[in-house]
Amino acid sequence: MKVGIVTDSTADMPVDFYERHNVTMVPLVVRFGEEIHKDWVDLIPDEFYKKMRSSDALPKTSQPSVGDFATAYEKLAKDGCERIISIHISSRLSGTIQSARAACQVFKDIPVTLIDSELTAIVLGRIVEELANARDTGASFEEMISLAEDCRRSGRILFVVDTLKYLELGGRIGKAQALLGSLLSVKPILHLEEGIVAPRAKVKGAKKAKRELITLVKEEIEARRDKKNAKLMIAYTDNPEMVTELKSLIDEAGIEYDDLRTGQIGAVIGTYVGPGTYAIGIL
Amino acid sequence: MKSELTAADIKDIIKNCAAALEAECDEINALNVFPVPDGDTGTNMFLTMQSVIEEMNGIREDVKAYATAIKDGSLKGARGNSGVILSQILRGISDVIIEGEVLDAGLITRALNQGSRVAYEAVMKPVEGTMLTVIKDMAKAARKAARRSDDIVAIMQEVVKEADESVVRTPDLLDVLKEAGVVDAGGRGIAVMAGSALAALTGEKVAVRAVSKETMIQSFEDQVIDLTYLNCTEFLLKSDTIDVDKFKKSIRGLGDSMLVVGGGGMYRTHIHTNDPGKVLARATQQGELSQIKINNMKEQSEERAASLKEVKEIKEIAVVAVAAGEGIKRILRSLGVTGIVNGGQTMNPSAADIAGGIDSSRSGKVIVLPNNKNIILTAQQASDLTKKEVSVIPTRSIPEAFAALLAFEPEKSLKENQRAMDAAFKAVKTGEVTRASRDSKARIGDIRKGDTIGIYDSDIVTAGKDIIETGEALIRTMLDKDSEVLTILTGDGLRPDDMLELRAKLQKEYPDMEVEIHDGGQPLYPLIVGVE
Repeated sequence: MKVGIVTDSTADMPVDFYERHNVTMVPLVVRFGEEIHKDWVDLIPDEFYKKMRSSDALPKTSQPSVGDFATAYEKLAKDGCERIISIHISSRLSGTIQSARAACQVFKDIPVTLIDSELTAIVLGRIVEELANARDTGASFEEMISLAEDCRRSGRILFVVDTLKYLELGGRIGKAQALLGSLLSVKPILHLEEGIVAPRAKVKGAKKAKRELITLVKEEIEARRDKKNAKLMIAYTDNPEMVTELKSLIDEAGIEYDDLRTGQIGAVIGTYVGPGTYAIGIL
Repeated sequence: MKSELTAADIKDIIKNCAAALEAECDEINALNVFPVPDGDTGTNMFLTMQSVIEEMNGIREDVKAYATAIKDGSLKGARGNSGVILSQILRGISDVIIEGEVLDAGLITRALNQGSRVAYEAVMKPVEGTMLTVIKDMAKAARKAARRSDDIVAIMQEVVKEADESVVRTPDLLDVLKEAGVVDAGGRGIAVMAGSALAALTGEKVAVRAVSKETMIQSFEDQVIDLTYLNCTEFLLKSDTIDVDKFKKSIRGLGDSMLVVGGGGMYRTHIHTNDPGKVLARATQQGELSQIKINNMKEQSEERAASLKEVKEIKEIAVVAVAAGEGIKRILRSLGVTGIVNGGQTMNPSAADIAGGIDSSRSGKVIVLPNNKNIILTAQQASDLTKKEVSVIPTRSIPEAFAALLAFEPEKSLKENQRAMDAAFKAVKTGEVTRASRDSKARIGDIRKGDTIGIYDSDIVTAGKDIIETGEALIRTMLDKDSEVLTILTGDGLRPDDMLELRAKLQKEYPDMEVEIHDGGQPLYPLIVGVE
């Protein structure tokens, strides 16, 4: 049975990733005033952060329309898919999956299984890659679904923002939380908990933040039954130097992992976390 | 009497709806706090309707063709959660119109009900107090009105009325709205559309009731303000001989918001007063009283205010800190401190002062940060004076308080917080610069009254004549190779700008160290330094 895989642009993978893995990506939209861009499709992260620095107004984002999803599903049905797995950014961060769900009300050609990943960014991208690999090595539809469920449960993303300002302005963190430590230069370490942004730790000083992040990653991995086969991801915004820095900290901490991918945080997620952010994903 | 809608009516309705949403866009955006407070509900609903208009443009004027365009256009253009739900409502409505025969009252009622049903189905976890509730209530009102009348305008009047009322009820159904003091943005958008649909049919402009975030918040706050006159006093006065003007004059001085209305021997009287007895006594001189009602408005408003705050009060831990200096207090609050007791080195607060701070916090669980070694015992005493569950974290300085607060998590238990905060504050070293209040002997030599002295770990480690020089010597004593962050609080006559030279010097010597300087405003200690 041919299974189509659909995700959205917040999986933070470049366009050629989706071509390589035969996955359909539906982009969210980023607006700078009148200027409208499709996330990752016609706005790559480096350009976005450049724009963000030079533009006075903050960018705004929109979830894909119902029609965008309906078109994507129709195309897969036309290409001979018999089922579709559509896995997306946490429904508590974006209405993207709501659009997908509404599209399913009108698109009835083949069954679509919607999965709220409760995650986003590079770790969602990694899950999509796992799903595509499973499909291409002969996994059944049911096996793919249970893999996706496993990934949702085990997937983590921890991140450090330079300032909570962007999360607050974008409405992705409570005002009270955003205010915490705003007068001291406190670096909060955040994570996605049940699909929403929650503080995990607060430290003073950029160096301590990195160390604390690594400590938390180590704790996460050591709490697992399978301590050796963790897949790690490092994501950066406008700070590519973080990749080498975090890599060496991971090695110094003696964290064992199966593979380590790196990638950049795209425009939509970047709108909410802001420049200077870095993240580690675990799967 | 309008018994049937035409294609032209539909076009007018849609145009009116889009125009009204555009006009109310900012106001609706400002209400948006749920599910994600990103302030775009109005924009999204408007864009969705605009897409409907684009889809309708250029097609032949036909009820079913229009219904199809409404369905397709809204689906294609749906933006945001509110837009998607709106598109589902419109899909339900359109489906009924497409399959129906005559667009009469019965069909419209069925269409609204289908719109509500489809929208509920489309949402994974329907939440009440949102636009879903509003469309559901509208559909119900339509059903009820259709039993009495075939007139579409009459039915729509009932629907619009209910829509408005349903919007006002949304904060009762959804706590986040109540906490934010707003009505639901999407629900409001739907009510605006209902009102403009009716306006399109009657040809009248419907004045949409303005409920902005500001006015809502104000109206909630209004109920909490101090009241000059406490008792709302109402009664019915029966008298054939009354001189109304004279009666009014006789009670006017006793309060405000006075109303005496009626005629033919019956007068309803209403006044806010602190002396309802006197009002009633004067009224009995005029005639017979009945239906007497006296309400304590303060109690009412407090109850309402309490019910607004309720959600937040129950679980979270409050933090009370002892501190002096405006800058320090501001930073403490930014770190989650909810109550501040004035005090410090030379003005130790009493146990009763601290207990007062504990008792006036809203939570039943309170953490106390004494921030001075001479206040730790007092704070522990204070915890015996209150019925609340109290945990004293024995912080001896403001930098220790900052460190402890970074580990504070209001939703966790007192015990967990105590453990985490204890560990956190112990990782900080604190030093202070002050002036010697008398001559004395210290390990480092004789100290003269008025000398600047640097204190670290209860020891005078350096002395001199210049505050900044003494500060520099103190900081050097405190720093070691593991120091990463240096926090300087300036007080008593010093400003952060006075420290820039020292900062530059230190940063050159310790390039990896982060230096933060804040205006603490504390008395007696020109410098407080934290090293971690």
